[in-house]
Amino acid sequence: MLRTAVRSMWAHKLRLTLTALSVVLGVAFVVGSFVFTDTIGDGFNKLFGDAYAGVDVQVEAAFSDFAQEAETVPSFNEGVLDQIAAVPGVGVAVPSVSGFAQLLDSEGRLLGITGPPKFAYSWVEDPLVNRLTILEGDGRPPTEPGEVAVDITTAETYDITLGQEVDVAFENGKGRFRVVGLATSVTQTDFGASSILLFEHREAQRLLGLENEITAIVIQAEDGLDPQVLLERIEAVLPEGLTASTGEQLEQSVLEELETGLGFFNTALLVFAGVAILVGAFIIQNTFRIIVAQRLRELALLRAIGATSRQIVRMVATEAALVGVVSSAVGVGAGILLAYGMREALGLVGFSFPRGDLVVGTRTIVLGMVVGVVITVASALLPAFKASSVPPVAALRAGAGHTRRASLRNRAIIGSSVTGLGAVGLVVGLAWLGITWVGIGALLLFLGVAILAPLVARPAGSFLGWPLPRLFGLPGLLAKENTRRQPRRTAATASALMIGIALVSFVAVLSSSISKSVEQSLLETFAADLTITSVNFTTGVSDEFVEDLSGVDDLAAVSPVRIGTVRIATADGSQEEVTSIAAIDPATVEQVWATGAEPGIEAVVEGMVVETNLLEDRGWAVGDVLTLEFPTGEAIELPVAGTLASEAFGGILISEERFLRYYPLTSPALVLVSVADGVDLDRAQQRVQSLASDYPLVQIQTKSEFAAQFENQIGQLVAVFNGLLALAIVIAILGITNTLALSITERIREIGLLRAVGMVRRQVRRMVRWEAVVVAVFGAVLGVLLGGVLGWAVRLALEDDGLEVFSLPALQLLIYVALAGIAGVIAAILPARSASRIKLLQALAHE
Amino acid sequence: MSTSHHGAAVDAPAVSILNGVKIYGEGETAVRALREVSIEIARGRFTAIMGPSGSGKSTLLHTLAGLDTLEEGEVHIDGIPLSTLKDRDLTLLRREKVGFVFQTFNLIPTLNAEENILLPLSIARENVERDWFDQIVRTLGLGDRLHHLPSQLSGGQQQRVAVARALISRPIIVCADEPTGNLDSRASDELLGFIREAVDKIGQTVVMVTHDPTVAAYADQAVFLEDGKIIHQMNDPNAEAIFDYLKSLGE
Repeated sequence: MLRTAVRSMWAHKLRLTLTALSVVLGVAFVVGSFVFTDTIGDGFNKLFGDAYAGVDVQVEAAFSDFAQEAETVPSFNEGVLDQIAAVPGVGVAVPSVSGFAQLLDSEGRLLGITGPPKFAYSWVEDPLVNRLTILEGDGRPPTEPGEVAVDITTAETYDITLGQEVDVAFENGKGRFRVVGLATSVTQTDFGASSILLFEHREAQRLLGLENEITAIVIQAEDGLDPQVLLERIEAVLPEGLTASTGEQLEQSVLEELETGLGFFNTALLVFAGVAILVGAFIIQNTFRIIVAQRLRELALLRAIGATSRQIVRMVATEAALVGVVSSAVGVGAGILLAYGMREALGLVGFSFPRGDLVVGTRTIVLGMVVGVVITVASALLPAFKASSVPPVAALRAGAGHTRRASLRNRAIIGSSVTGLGAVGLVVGLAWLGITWVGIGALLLFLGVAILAPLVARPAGSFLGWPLPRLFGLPGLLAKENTRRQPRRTAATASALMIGIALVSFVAVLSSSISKSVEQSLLETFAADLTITSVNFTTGVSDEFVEDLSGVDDLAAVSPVRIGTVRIATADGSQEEVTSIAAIDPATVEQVWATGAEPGIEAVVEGMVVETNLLEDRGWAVGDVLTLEFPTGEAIELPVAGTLASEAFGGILISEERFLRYYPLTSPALVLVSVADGVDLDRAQQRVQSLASDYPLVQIQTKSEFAAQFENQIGQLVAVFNGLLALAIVIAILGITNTLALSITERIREIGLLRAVGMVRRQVRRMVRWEAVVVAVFGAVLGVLLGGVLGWAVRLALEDDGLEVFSLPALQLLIYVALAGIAGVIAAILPARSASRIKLLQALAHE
Repeated sequence: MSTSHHGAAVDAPAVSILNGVKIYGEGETAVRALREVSIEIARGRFTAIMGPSGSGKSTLLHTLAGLDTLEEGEVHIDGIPLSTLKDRDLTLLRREKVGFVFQTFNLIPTLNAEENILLPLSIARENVERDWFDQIVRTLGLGDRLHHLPSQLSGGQQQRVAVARALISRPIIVCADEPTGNLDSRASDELLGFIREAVDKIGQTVVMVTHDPTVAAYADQAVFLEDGKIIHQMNDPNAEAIFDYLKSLGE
């Protein structure tokens, strides 16, 4: 039977190539995801793994256990240094400060993309603990104010040379520095797209607004002393609010954090790979079903001469396994290339990652092969069992190319049940059980609709193909009828496309709803004319700049909003959560923001003011006393003093004055500004802009610009999603090509007849092309409907979380349908060509 | 009437082949299906092409119909030399001047009988002469079957639809390849009667390939092929005469 399977495969090279391609692409995506994340993980491991090489113990401000969620690097008074240096066994103790700094180009614009971190560090003199070094010929370390050393990767990227003057932006302003050195990592690792700027210690403190403050003390033990022993001695004298760790512990925690981050990234990529594979499975199943149908007589002949039905199943399954093995192997290779290409492509747009060889794990290869083979064989099994039930007499019957019609009633029952289950899973997932159930629900919904699709394929073909006969005459009529003659085939082909289109439509509906909801809440609740934020959202808006603004007479109110992370617990300890908390100035906030506070926003002086729905959700009431624990470890008890209608900034407000006691260095995330009566908005904006010339990180926007920027960011996210979903759509389009190619083989006599009685090649191509378009549009319409329903459901579930507006981006969805139609045209190019070039007499004589 | 509505002289042959050579394959395995064949098919006549399997009779029909090309020699349809035509022009010529009836698979399964009959006109996007259509349908007795799909018709009815389709565009010539090959004798007689009627009443030129002497007997002329050559022609053949001739060949 193996030989029969191999022969049969070889006899149908083209259709196998097309089937295999869908497996190749799916496997490539899986393998590419793993190779890519493994490779960048490896690069970062090298980068951070040696980062604490010379460090025995490091002292830092104590983060609470929710530290990762707090944005600011806490600092502490440098006086601690003397205390630590005096501990017996401390060899070297060096202070260090770190913060944000980004290079500017000659026009004053920020260099490099937002995202990868841009560090400022104080230069550590002691070579034993310094992980950076300045090599011979690369200058010297910064020793004076006005001097900077730049990491060598960044210097090469932007052509920065020794002696050059560069402008650098900090949260609190900007400065001009002379480049005196180019710093290299002691382990020669590449920094990728992040940058490191090094300043003399006092200068760094001044630039980062950390006078007399430091962010870390780096310690090396005297020779032969166990770091663990030194750690214990240091901990014994350590003041409240500080913590000490060994270099090993720090390295461990950094690597763990990295692993979590990359794991999340990998999971996200694998979800998209899963979608691609699901679509591939549809196509494999459809292909094998058509192949089996076309070979019915051949299979029946085998049965007639004595093959058992088990042998038939084995033959089809063997054929599938062979396809699976070969295409998975190709897929693994393609996946490695994909990972390489992905790294290079991201590098080109500025996201360069640390250099290093691609990491291709055994686990990656095994997984890729297993996924590919299992999916292919599993998809082919159903058609294989169908094939095994062929009665031997079918070999003798004429016109045995057509499969039996499955009971429509059964299909309707099964399809509705699966769809129903999917809907239940979706609802249950959205309401209680979380994202996994939403995923399972969506998957069942897709399957259910795919099972039901053949029931509507005929009317859909009539409806969607309705204009074709009028537009294109007979080729149009035949195209329409061809979509209707095998509803299962049409539906299966369309369903594969449906999945991808449903997901992009879902993303479109959800993102549009998010944008509109944000826009509405901005318009409704914010009276501010201008918003001031930082361009990168890592730093805040400089407090000095806010002070500059308060003197401007064109402005009626300047009200900063600060955001911090806090742990809130009820008095009895029954509830505890880490959440964000916002600080406002009660004197000015009402002029820029309709908070809807009851009894009034002044309540923040007494305690915290909480948004009504949030209050209800948590079961708190006005007057309840809650415990607030801050990242520094300090905790206070604070009553709920009032309620809030607006849910902006997380819905929990305290006063700026109280906030600054626990987050003294947290600058405003946002400053809301209202313009004085009678002052032209443009003029006011220009005025504020001119004041901002010393603060390159500050960005001033009108309310509509702010909303547009938000929409733009959402748009970028949508573009990334769509890019990742594109593969699933490409596979589905290959599926259309495949189905058409198979159908044409099947209809070759018919095409021969049409050619004989006078159909020109163009008309043949047109017939095939429009069939493809109808199938693609059918899939797209199903997808848009399904995606719309999904988007509607998810939006509804998130209504209380601020998604108050449902927005259906009709034009966008119509464009998707139109694009699907165009994709159909493209999918039809090759099949149409081969259909128009059939050899007439051979076609007519075809059995 | 001295010219047909296509402009060629009426007395010129509808279709002709001159020194036609057709070779299948290459080198050692090459088969000469037609060896210097020449014949003229007169207008308004019913010609039967006969011969054993592999004699080249189907190849001759296909080249006369513009479905296949020659290696040497020339085919004229209605005075037009085919060797000069590109695929598109050849297709248009077939559409306009040639009607076909094949042994099996004459109909498009997704189209009903009426749509199948009108196929050549629909492909050309030409208007239907309703009187002509009605006359053909009436003659062939298809009036109550027009909205049936091919799968709902009997074999004889399917072939009658095919004949109707071949006649609808008033072709110069109708080429029929074993049109009764899959029919029982009653349906076969009926179909040949219709074809005969078309020749007699409207002067339709018909060329038909068959191996059956009783079928060939319906023709005005029988042409015998062997090994790619015409070896004999017989006017007003009857079954017995054909049978005797074939028998004499075997001896």
